[in-house]
Amino acid sequence: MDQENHIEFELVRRAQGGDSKAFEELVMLSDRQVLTLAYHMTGNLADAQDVYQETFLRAFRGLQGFRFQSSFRTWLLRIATNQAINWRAKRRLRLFSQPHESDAEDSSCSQFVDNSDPSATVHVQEILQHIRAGMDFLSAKERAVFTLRHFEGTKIKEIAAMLGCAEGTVKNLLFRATKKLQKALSFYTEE
Amino acid sequence: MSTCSRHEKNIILLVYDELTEVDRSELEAHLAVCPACRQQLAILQTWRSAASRFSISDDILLPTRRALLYKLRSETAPKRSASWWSITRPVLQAGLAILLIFFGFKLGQLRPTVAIDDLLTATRAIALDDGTISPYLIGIDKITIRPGEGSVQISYNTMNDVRIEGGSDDPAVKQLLTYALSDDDISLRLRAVKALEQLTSFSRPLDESYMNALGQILAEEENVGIKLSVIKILATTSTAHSQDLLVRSMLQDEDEAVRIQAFKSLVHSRRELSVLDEVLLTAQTDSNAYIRTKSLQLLMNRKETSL
Repeated sequence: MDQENHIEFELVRRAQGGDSKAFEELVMLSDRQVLTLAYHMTGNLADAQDVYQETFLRAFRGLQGFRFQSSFRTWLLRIATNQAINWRAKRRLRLFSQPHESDAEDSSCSQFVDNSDPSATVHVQEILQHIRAGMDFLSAKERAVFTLRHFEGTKIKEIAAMLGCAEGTVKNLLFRATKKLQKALSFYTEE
Repeated sequence: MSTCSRHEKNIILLVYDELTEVDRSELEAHLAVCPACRQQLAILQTWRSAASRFSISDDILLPTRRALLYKLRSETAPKRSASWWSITRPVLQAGLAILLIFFGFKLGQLRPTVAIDDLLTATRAIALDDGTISPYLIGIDKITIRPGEGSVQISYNTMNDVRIEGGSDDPAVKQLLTYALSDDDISLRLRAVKALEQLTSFSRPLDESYMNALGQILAEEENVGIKLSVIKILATTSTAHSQDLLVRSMLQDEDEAVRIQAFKSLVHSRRELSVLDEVLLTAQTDSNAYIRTKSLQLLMNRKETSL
């Protein structure tokens, strides 16, 4: 076990023993990743913040059931992914299907790009913006796989364990998602 | 320039470092001789490096974290001692019960200001002396299309069964139809799409809430028949939103019948010429031979006419 995993292990054990400060430290170790995942899955910041909060509240309430069969991060991202997939299903069933006010606000992605190299920033923003637009046309699972692999850097094996499916299925979903996005991007970038 | 289909999947896996050594060597040998696949690899690597620049800033993260920690702390905060409450609670409960009986008796003596039939068949919020009641939608039973009248009749349940009738711009019809378009029951979704098809034939323009619901169907619906009906509706509405949805269907739908229908709708309707050119050019990369041939033919015709 490397040092990072050891720290995580200790924090989880302390949190399971009722130490709420330990859980807060776990939040601080992993919440940027959860918010990033939620943002890419929902497509707007307000909903991502709801999914983020619900993920940690569920993790906190279900912490006693965590048996260290995977890393805490994997377990947390699995909860976040399921929350985001459920969020999409609920959104479909909303009685008033008005467009999301916040979608338009966030569409530029400019606030999420690291500005350390200004010369490349505009191009990066453009690519991210097109990917964002294209992601609206992916199914919930395609979106989850693409987000986890592309933005979170999660390995295919780990994604398969998270989603409870075979590695081959994850590869197919990643392939389909990439092809769909590429097709969408080729059209919009030529406009 | 198109990539070799045999290597497409492996190029994606190479970008994500998920390829076995054997497959990697084989692909690298192929890349050395195939410019199209090299180009594809370069594009995907650009995407990947763009993703590494994506970052949620502290300005966004910290307030979100603070809200979460506040909520977590309020969940774990020790509950206040209930000693005084355990003594006074039965007394307060008894007092409240007496008050409720008294007000219930007084309420029974009042004459109702709204007829009971209106309440039982409520379709919209009803104003009462002390506020409003808003019937809560439980489910839709039936959508009946009124041929030749430009209206639909919808039976649904709130606290009781209710039936309303109206055109596409009626707010209640709009609310119920958009609900039906995303219902889990396939027959209800089909009926809702057919109803909209009927309503658009009366030249009633569909507003954004309908268009959003139709877009959602095109993105997520598994039944091809329903998608084809949606394409038909979009073909009759010449707005920028409907054009956008048709273009997306033509580019992205997995079913050839849907892509062909969307392609035909785009070509036959009066779209802007620049958009049509883009559509025809992109259509030539489609896997369907009909779309490829037809788009090439139309492009040639257009070039000849412009000459």
